[in-house]
Amino acid sequence: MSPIVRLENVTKRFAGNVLAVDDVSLDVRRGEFITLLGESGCGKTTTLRMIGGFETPTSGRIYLGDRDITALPPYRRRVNTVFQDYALFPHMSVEANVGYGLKIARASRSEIAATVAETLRMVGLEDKSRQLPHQLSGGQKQRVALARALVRKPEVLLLDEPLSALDAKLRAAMRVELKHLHEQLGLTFIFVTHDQTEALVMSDRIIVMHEGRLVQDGTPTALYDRPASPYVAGFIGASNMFPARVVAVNGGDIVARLRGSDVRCRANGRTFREGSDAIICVRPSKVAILEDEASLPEGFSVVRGVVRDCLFHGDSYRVEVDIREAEPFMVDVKLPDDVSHAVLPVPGSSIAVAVNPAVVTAFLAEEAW
Amino acid sequence: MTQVHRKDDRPEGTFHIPLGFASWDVNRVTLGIAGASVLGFLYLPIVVLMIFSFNSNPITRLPLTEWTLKWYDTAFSNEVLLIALANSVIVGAGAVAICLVIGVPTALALDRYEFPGKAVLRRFVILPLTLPGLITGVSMLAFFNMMGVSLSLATVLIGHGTALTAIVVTNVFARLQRYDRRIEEASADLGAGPLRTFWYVTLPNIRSTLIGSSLIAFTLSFDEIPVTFFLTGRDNTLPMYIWSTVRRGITPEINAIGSIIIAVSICLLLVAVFIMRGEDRRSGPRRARQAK
Repeated sequence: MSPIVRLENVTKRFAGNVLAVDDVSLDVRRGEFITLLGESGCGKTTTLRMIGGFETPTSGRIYLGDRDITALPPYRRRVNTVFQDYALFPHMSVEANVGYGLKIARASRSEIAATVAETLRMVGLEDKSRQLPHQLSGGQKQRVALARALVRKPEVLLLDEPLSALDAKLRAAMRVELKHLHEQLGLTFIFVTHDQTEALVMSDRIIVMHEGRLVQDGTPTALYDRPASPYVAGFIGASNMFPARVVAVNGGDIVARLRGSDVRCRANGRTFREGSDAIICVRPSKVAILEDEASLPEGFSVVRGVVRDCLFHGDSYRVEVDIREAEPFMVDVKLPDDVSHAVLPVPGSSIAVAVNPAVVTAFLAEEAW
Repeated sequence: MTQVHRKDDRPEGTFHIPLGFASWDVNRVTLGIAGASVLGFLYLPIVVLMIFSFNSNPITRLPLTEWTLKWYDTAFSNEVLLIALANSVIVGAGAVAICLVIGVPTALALDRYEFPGKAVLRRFVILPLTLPGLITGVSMLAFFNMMGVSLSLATVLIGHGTALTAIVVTNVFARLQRYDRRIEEASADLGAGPLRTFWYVTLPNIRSTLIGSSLIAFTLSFDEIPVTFFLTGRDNTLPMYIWSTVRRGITPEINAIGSIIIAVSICLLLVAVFIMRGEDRRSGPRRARQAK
């Protein structure tokens, strides 16, 4: 199936020669929930605004279906946006805000009333229809903005950090709600956020952007398990990342030497040479404390160090192990059901950590952070 | 700003005079006296004028004699005065129309477009407001003479429009600066072209500023003398009429018409301030736009 939105080598340069988006190409499939993820200033919002028509690319083309929409103004695109601070019309009631798109489309009065009522019911605001935006709470404004954008039945819904103005609890609830709404409506959602949790929870696919460039495009699990660069590894989820030297290469496996230990890992298609520098990356949740060295599974490496600290994280402890690197090596220890019997490592004691080569990602040192 | 202290958080050592139901500080009393003096300084002459407009003695002099409405009666049966009043209204309304037609597009341009000379335009647009009416009047008189335009109410109207456009520009510009432009993007996003966006979204959000600044411009035009003096032909506006009458001595009739003008002006200004304030409260400050 042809993509619903296609970006071809899109570049945006602002006045003053600021390169906001640098040669981004992207296909969005119909019905997909896709997230543009990155720190502020990475070009994600500019990319979204170009799809919405609020910015014109300096070069490159944007297609909606088969149609080239690069030069079309926002009001000629079948795309609607949920703005970051909602951008509700302050002088119109909730009803009028939601009905605005239909009024502009010259729908009949009865049709507008029916669609507005139905949409407000969908977002749970049927009792607020006559209120003005400034009388609503943040979460309610958010729903009005969503209803207003959905009422025109767009082919693609653009969401520009719609949850960032909400408090943590509401944000978590809205994540789930948005995801359900997406499943229910079957629309294509393009979502922009700097919040990796949001991205991981909701998306079918995540596009990580960094300094205007697309750095990785993949499913949440792929991003988490196989980050394409040290930047992505550091940005998504917690990571142990250490510079290391490659001391042995045999077939698909390499051995990387840290200051205190040797770690075996997979090359994953990268070409390492003996003696070259590498960066290794391991998730704290994917390694385990080794109680008895004799029980070390075949092929696993051992990282030894001294316990520096033990931090309670609710359902787990994070043990920080000093392995004579700049940063401690973090290990997440899941707590047993009966917490009172848990034996925790004592700060200052020696400890060994078992590392499965399959969970270590090794990057070439030249790969950008 | 005055601060209302509760008993327990009053600063130590403040001298405290109990005055019946409320607690008063010396500070507040001093502030009250100062405020009253300023208001007295500003408004005492006006109050005096209003009082004498109801006084039966045809000479403005103490002591007050009998209470009467007859000066209002004479004022409203004076045809020359009524024509002057009508002329003033026509000039005011016309000047406001000119201000809006020139001022709103100028403010919009200043707010949203970058163009060469923008900074200069922004300052020059305000200049006529600060320029003495005498200068505006003389220079426009010279201009009209040079162009062979004969003087009439129309030239007065143009003169006022020039001087007062700055009021509309500055007010509308200030309003646009405080307003969240993304609601216009939202409107475009929902299918509205530039005209419909202006009509349905921009205009309703600056409407009260338009009304407010129109009222101010009207009021200023209504009692304008210097520019009018140079630019009028045979027609008189109300302030001109009053001025020419007063040269022969202040009559209570003038006090009466003066009192009415003051009352109407105060009402218009209050309405203007009230409307403008309501709008700002509703839509809040514009947030900084960030490129992400």
